[in-house]
Amino acid sequence: MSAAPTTLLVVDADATVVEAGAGAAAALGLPGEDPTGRPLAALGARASALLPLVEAARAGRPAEGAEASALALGEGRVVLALPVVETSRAVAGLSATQVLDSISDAFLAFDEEWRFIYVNERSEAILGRTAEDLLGTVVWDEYPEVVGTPFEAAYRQAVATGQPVQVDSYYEPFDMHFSVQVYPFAGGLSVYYTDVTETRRMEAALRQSERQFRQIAETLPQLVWSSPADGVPDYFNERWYAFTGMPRPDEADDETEARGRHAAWATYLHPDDIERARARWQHSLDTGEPYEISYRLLRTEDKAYRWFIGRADPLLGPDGEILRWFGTCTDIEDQKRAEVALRESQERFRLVSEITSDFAYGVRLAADGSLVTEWVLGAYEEILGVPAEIGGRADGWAETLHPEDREAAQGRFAQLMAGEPISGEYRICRPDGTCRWLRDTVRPTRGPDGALTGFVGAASDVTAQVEAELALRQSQARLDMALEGGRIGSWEWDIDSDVLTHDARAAELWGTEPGAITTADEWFGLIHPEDVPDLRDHIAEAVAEGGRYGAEFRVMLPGGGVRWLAGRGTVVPEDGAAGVLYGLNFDVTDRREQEEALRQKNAEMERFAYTVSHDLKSPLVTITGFLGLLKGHVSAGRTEKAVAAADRALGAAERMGRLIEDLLVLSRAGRPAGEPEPVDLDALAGRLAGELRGRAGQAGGVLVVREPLGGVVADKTRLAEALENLLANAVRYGLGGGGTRVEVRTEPTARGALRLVVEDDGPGVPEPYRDRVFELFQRLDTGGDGTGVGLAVVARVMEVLGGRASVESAGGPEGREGARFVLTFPPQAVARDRSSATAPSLEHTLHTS
Amino acid sequence: MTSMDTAHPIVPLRILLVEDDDDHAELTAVALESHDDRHQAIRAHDGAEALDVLYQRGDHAGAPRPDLILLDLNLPRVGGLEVLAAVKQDESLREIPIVVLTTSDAESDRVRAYRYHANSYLVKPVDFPKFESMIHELGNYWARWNHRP
Repeated sequence: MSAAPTTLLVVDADATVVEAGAGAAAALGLPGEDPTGRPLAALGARASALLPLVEAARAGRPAEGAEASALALGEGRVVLALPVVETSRAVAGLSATQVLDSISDAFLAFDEEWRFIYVNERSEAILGRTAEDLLGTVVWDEYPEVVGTPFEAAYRQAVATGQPVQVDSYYEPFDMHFSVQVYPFAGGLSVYYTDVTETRRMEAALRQSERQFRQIAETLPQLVWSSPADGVPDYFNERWYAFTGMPRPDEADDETEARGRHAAWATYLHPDDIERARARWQHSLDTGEPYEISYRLLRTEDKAYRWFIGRADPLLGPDGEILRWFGTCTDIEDQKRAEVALRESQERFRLVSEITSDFAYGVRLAADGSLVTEWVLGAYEEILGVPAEIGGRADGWAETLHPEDREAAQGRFAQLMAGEPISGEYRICRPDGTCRWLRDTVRPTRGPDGALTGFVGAASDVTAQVEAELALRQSQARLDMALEGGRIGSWEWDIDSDVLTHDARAAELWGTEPGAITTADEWFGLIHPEDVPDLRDHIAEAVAEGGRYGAEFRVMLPGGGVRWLAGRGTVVPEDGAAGVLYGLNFDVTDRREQEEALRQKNAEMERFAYTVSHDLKSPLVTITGFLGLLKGHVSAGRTEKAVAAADRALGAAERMGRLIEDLLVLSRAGRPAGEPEPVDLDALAGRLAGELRGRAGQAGGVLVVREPLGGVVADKTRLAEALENLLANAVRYGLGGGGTRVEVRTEPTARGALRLVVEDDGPGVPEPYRDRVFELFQRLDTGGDGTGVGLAVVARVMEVLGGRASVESAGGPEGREGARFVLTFPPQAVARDRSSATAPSLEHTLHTS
Repeated sequence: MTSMDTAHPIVPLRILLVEDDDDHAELTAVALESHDDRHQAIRAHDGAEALDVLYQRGDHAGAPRPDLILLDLNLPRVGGLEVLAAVKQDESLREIPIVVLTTSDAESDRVRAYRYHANSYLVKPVDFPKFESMIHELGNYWARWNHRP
């Protein structure tokens, strides 16, 4: 080494100046500049010329040149001694020895005999001995513990090979870890060593920490990575590889390739996120600030991007330098989706609110128990006519309620305050005096402790609907009332699809169960066959013309019988379809029956008038005729003939009188004479038979009452008239026609009715005349004193009593077939307290007197 | 009463009088006799007897065929319309003219009578002179002016 004045320059492994002595810049031809931190190669020609020396020193070769000498310091560092240029020489004043003493690392040198020839200050400190004390002593004597250690081996190897040796080992006597560079030189050995105890400990701790980190990382649900300070990950957890599909390190050809792939981590991001993520990462690398970013990562499994939040924190060394980065990627897709959904939902709500006049609100229950409007969304102002007052008191809400709705609303509010969700409709009266119907659904909100904190609600303006519904309900109620009151059934028939629907009243009118009839044909199946063709025509016509239909028809009831219904309908056409026939049915049976009864009455009346006029005119013709003859006879003095003609006229007048009398009886027969009462038939028949005893005897027969006859409940007077006529008829035509006996008896029927029989053994009534004999003025005889009214009276009385009169053959021999007249009393008219069926028979025979 | 018109003499009629009322039958007979006492009246008391006469059955086995039938409608047993229908449906009897003679002026009777081919429909007047006059005109028509088959 030169003893000339020099200045020193220390470069690191990258040949960058890390320390520069005074005058060094000048020595490099760069007076006034600070070469520190700049690569030697960038400091100009003089500096670049020093590079071969640096290399030589590092290689352990002699490194002495004209411009400088170099000495390796370990870890690639080299100290260069530069001659001080004139201008700087005076201020330099430093020797290589001083430089060596001043460097922070320990340095010592041995001669060929292993004697200490140099010990710098740092070495003195480490060895705990002064240079003075050590110089000249043999290392193996002073430090026998070194023998057998890797250090001794390295020293001897360097001497033996002439090559620098590097050793890194623990030295137990000092409990220290040294990194030692051994450089042989002619006549000795220089040893540069550094106390790396702390570094090694840290490295071990780091390794341990890294192992633990990886263990933890593999169990975390996130994607985890770590990288050295340069930011290129050297570790990803298994989850990363599985998620991204990045080949695992053991799938790579070599470490470089694996590292290259790791460096390309950003390629797994969504293209739109790559640049942002790289920039953000670079920023953290540059500044050491924690890294946090949202981005989308491609999932290899389904080639879908999912949102992640990426985070990384640096691990700092003792001096604040970054040792490693640890990072995680957390899947926030679901959260993102929820956020998006929430945003969309809010947006949708906002849009819907605008369209549907809805609003939502939140109310907080303040500590003092008052209600505070926290937020309002939607068409609040449009509906209520006043702007929402966020943060204002909400207690005044109840005052805007329509008075009729307050009680119910307050009831619901109490429920809400008890923690129950509520829903209801009420009217809010606006400042302009108008009221709006709101449909409000409110839910209580609770704090973490479960206590009620307020409520949130959603309200819609349903004024139009409510009013329409109200009108509809009123209309429906009126319609129902009308239909119910009028026993009107309604139905509708979808013509194209042939679907018939109807209400319960319609079903009742049709004699079916509700829902039993679903098509038109099923319905026509209920209709009396005689009415079907006309009805079909009516309906078809209405359908064809899209108009109305109206008809009256009979439905056949399941229990027999028919019901007259009136049908009214209207076809409501639809576009492209036949439409729907809406119809109503109502019962017109009573009217129809009344009409029928009226028709029958009219016909009867007509017949009556006809027969009366005929039969009354007949004696009149006789009277006038014979009076005419009488006149002639008197004029001609034919006294005898005159008297005969007068007799004929008188006879006809008498007959006319009888006829009029009988007609009066007949006219009364249709009117009740008294209330129905129990009638003892034995007593009645006994009395009437007694009255006719004389006439029966004159006719040469007997009249027999076979007791007991029992009793009926009937109009006694009318029944007496009927029975009297019947008995008189039997005496007149039965006995008068050659019969010998008239018998009165009763016969119960299987159905609980009672037959009162008046039977004779006279000529009988030939079959063709059996119905006609009960008609007015119908007589089988010619001449005689019958008026042809008696049996008509019988028939009329029985009709009014709810029974009927009939005649049948008594079953006698030809010519004496006999007539059996029967009065049939319905079960309800039969007195139950007496029975004629089981009582012994007793005959009263009325003989000719 | 006899006719003075020699150019159109009365040809006496055999008349079947179907009438249940004895008084009416007698009055009709009196009126016919006063028209021409050569007329011959056969009395039937009801429709059944009238058919017996026409078919010459039972008690009327030898009854002559009438030239004219005077028929009441309201008769016991077989009614006047039934007699009318029976006669007009019978090939051998339908040429006999039938004059319905009744107290009924009901339209339904009139319509039915003509439907069954009655030759005439007369309502008995209540006034006897009118009745007699009607019978005389009837007699003139059928006995004097009408040419029989």
